[in-house]
Amino acid sequence: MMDNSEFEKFIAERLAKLPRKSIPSGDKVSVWLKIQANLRQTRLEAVRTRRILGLVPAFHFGRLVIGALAIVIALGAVGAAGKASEGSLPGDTLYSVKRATEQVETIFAINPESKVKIGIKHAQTRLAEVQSLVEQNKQPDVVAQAVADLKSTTEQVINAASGSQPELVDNAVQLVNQEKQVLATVQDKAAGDAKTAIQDAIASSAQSLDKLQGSDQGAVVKGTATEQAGNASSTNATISPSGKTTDKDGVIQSNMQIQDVTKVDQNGNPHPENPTILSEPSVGF
Amino acid sequence: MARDSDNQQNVQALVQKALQGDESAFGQIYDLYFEKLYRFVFYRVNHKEAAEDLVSETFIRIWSSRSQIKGAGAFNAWVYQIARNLVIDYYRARKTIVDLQELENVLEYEDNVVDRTNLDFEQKTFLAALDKLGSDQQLVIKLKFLDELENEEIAKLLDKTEGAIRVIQHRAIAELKKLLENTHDGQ
Repeated sequence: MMDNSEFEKFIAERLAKLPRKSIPSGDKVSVWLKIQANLRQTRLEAVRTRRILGLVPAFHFGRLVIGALAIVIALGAVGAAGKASEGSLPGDTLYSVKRATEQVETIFAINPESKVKIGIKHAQTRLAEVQSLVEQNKQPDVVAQAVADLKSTTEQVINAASGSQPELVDNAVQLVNQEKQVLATVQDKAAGDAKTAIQDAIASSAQSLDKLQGSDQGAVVKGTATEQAGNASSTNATISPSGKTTDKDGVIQSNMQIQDVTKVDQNGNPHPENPTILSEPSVGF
Repeated sequence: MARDSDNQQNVQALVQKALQGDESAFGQIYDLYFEKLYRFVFYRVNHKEAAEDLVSETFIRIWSSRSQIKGAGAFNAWVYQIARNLVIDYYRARKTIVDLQELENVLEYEDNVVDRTNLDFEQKTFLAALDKLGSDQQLVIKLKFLDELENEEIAKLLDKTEGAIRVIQHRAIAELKKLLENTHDGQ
C-alpha cells in the first residue's frame, strides 16, 4: 500500500501518461515580433505625448523625413529583436535572430581589418556561449556543436589575420590564448561529447598559435623577391632538389633570399659565404 | 536537485532584470515561458490564432505593469493570472449574455486536453475516479499535474492562499487513493 507521497507521484505519472489531444504549435517568433511592435508603438506614443505637453519641440514632417523615420523604425525593429536576442544561447528560439544579426555585421565588414575585428567579436561571443552552456549543464551534444561553431569562427579569424598587419595578428593571438584559458577552466565541468570537443579545441588552439606566430615571423611582403621566391612553385617553375628553380625558359633562379650573398660551387649549388666588407673610398667628392 | 535549484535561481535573476526594464532579459523570459503559457491558453480557447494573440497580450501587459509586480517570486503567479483574465475577457467579448460563473469555469478544460478515444481500462478507471472528486479538488489536481503549475500560481488563479491549496491537494490525493482502492477491491 502506497503512502501519500508515493501516491502523489503515482497520480503525476498517470496524468502525464494520459494521451493528449494534439494541439497546433504556437508561432513563437511571430508572437514575439508582435510584442516588439507593441513596445515600440508604446515608446513612440510616449514621445508624442511628451511633445503635446510641450516637453519636446514639435517638428513639421515632410515626406522625406517620414520616409527616413519609417526606415529608422524598421531598423529599430530589427535592432530591437536583435537586442532582445543578445543573451540567447544555442537551442533558444531567439538564437537564430542573434546569428542573423551577426551575419549582417559580417556583410558590412568591408576591409580586412574590420573583418578580423568583427570575427574576433563573434568568436568571443561563441566562447561565452560555450562557457554558459557548460555552466548551465546543457546537453553534451548542444555544447559540442557550440564548440564546433567556436572553432569554425576562430579559424576564419586566423585565416583573415595570418599574413596581415602585425597588430591584427596580435589580436588573433590574444583571442586564441583567451579561448585556451576559458576552455581549460570549463573542460572539467563538461562530460561526454562536450568534454571531448573542448579538449580537441584546446589542442587546436596550440596549432592555431603556431600558425599565427609562424605567419608573423615569416611575414611575406607583397611584391618583393622574397614573395616571388616563396611563390615559385605557383609559377611554371620547377624546384630541383638542390633548391634552385628552373622556369620554363630555362633560367635558373635561386630560392635563397635576395639579401644573402652567394656564390655557386663546383656543382652549381648556391653556397652562402660571409660578405667581404670593402673599405671606405679614399677619394673625396 | 542542485541543478534545478541553480536553474531556478538563474530564472529568478532574469525575471528581476526584466522587471527592472531589461529588454534582453525580458526576451529570455519570453523564450522560457512561451510553450507552457501557450498550452495553458490554447486548452481554454481551442483556437491557435486566438491563443497566440492572448499570449502576446499577456506579455505586453506583463511589461507594461512590471512596476507593480512585487519581486521575482510573484512573477509566475502574475503571468497565469493575467492570462486567465484575458481568456475571460475573450469569452466576454464573444457572448451577449454574460454568466460570470460560466466564465469562471474556463479554468475547467479537461475535454480539450485528454484524448479519450483510445484510453485503456486503467486510464478510464483513473479518470472516472478523478471525475468523482469535488470541483475544487479536481481543479487543483488538474492545474497541478496537467498544467504543471506550482502551488503559488494555483493560489493566485483561484484567489486562495497557498496553504489552502496544499490542504485541497492533500485531501484530493487521499480521496482519489480511496476511490481507486475501492474500485480495485470491487473488481
